[in-house]
Amino acid sequence: MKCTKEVSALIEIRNARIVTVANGVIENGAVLVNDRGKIQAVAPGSFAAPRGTEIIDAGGRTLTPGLVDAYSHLGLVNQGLGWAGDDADEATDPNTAHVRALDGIYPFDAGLTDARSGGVTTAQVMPRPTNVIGGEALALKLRQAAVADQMVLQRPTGIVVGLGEAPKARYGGEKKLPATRMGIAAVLREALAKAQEYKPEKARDLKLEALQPVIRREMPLCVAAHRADDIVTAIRIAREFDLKLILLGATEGYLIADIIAEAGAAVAAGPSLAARNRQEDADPGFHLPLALIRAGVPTALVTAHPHLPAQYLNISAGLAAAHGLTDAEAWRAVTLTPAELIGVADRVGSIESGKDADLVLWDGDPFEVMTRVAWTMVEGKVVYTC
Amino acid sequence: MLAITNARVYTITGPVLDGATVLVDGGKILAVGRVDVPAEAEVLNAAGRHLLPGFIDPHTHVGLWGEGGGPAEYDGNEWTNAVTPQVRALDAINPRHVSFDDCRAAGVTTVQTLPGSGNPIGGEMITIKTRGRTADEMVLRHPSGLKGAFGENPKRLHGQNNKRMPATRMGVAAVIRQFLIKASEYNPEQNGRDLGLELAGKVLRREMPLRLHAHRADDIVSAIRIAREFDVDLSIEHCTEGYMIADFLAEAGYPVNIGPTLGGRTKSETANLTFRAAGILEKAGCHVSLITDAPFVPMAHHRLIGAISAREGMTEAGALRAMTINPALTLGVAGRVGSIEAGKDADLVLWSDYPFRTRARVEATYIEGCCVYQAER
Repeated sequence: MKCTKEVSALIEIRNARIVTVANGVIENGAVLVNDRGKIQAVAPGSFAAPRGTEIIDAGGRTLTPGLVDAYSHLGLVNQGLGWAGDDADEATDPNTAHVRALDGIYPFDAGLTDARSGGVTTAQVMPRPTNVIGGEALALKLRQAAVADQMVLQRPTGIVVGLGEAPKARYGGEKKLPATRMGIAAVLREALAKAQEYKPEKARDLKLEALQPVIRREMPLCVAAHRADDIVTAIRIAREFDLKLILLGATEGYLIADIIAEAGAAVAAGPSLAARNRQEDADPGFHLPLALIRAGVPTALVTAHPHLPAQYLNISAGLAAAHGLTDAEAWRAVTLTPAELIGVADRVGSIESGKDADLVLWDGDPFEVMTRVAWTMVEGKVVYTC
Repeated sequence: MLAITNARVYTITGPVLDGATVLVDGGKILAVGRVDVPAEAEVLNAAGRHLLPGFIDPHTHVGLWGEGGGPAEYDGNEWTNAVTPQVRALDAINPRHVSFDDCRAAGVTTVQTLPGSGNPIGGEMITIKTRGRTADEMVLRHPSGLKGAFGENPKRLHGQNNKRMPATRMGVAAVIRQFLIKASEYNPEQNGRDLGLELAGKVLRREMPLRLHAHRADDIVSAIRIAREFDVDLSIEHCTEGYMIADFLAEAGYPVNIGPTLGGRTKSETANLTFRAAGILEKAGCHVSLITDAPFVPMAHHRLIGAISAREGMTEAGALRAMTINPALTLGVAGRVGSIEAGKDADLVLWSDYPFRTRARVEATYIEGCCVYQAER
């Protein structure tokens, strides 16, 4: 089929097998990218692109949307810099709602390069959930930039909360609230109750201010919870305060997938390709996304980079497919679903006209371990080539 | 007697054989290839499947580290002193630990389990099969080396946390040297028995190697310098920056155990971590084995370290050798394991597909002819 409509385009990628995610797979098609870095059109066959259009022949290889990682510490936990380069963990108070991931992101972190080499183009970057309230998350676009602000896709995207072992170990060890799961829930409830009553005209309070968009349901509370009872606590508190809820990790979520589905929560699940870390996440595996997706829970596969380094997200999707997800489900779980979770699905997550031209060309089946990324493009600009 | 027939058999030390038979009896491989199957043999038709020797991971903390169990289960580093050669991994292995289930399900049938890298001299390690009721039953070679460590970990654990030597890389080398000198002057009749120096005697007599944790290129060179000074056998553990001095390493000739690469660059000394390392060192002529350093890379996904190393430049055959016969040689157990050859232990893994394919899964794992893992249908 030939599309003859003339369009103003910069780049045409043709002769590609296109995994659109939104509208299935086009076995041989083309994508037009316009001069604003947007996808102008996608269709089977090729376009009659205007003179001057750069033509990229994909040689029949697979073109996919850039991968989206809904749970990451990219730029905050810098690769190879040890303690000096770890800024994910403001573990000095159980409530640090006022800290912002943006203020800790190092644009020259080698992890960002690694992520691009693995076809990742968008990541939700979060403070580590060591505090009960850890701070503000944002969506980062992995553009080549020297300034973190120039990489922001959206901010804030959520407030990070940590339940379970991490805050207990951190503060209980100091003989400070919270030393128990009861204490953790109390700290969270107290902060949310205060946030509901916040009157900025009296005195400005950055912590309470940070929670306002959560209280107004403009963005979710992103709650790291691994044990089933911790997940249920998150659901309980989200209901009490009528909040949007995204669960992070959710290792034991497969035991209560129906309850999570009924609560209307979404899950940034895993990482499933991971080592056991603590008691609460001692049962990692791809049974988790399978159970959640089968129960109808919007589920993204994540890396929690650097827990699993960012560049292995495609291998995670491949393993999830090997463990029972359909290819379409596995693709969605690393593209459109995380984009929806983060609230940026109007911009990224699928190959559709009007979305950002965040594209990845793979030299084989993207779900195969041995496959490499040929190039990664963000908004029409190549940010990585093999 | 068991006959596994019609499989694609990766002998490792010989060619890949299509539609071959492997005959097993008494825990050993009796024959491989075109074999007449005796009438009394139980036949497992493995048509369409891939049969490989059990994988060998020469650097793990399986059974020793806890993994999710918290401090109560953690027995990795005897950090109370910088020099602890008297401690033995054998005394802390929990055979019921879930990490052994991971090994069997991942097709890993032999591991070397090591004390951690907190101490310049960390203790005695053992090479074990991944099944058994007691640690002693699992032993394939005991001891199989003395652990030592360079770089950040001993500096942090002793100098920084406990304000004692070593606080610098100079200090680490000095502590190791001093220990080896003391060991070479060891005289039990005169000074009484010393378990640590006794063990070091095995290193000095080259009955087993010193296995030294070294990530940075300069740490690797220090390890080699000391091994030469004392004329001892050495394996270089981790070897993260080894690819940056590939010629030097190849000429030195010591085996290298590379990894954990499927993990982040969590420390300064791993800043130059890359999966290209194994291919570069293979090409340079080094004796390369791949490690998970489990639990630092999840043992459940052991095969990925070979697949990604191959993707990043290692030959696929070389990657398979680096997970089988190469570590068997480095551990001194190649007479028993590491390839599918008549006379070796029947440590065999039946894969649904080529293990470097994402969809491949272990269907069954055999150790000495016994099925120790079977996938759910």
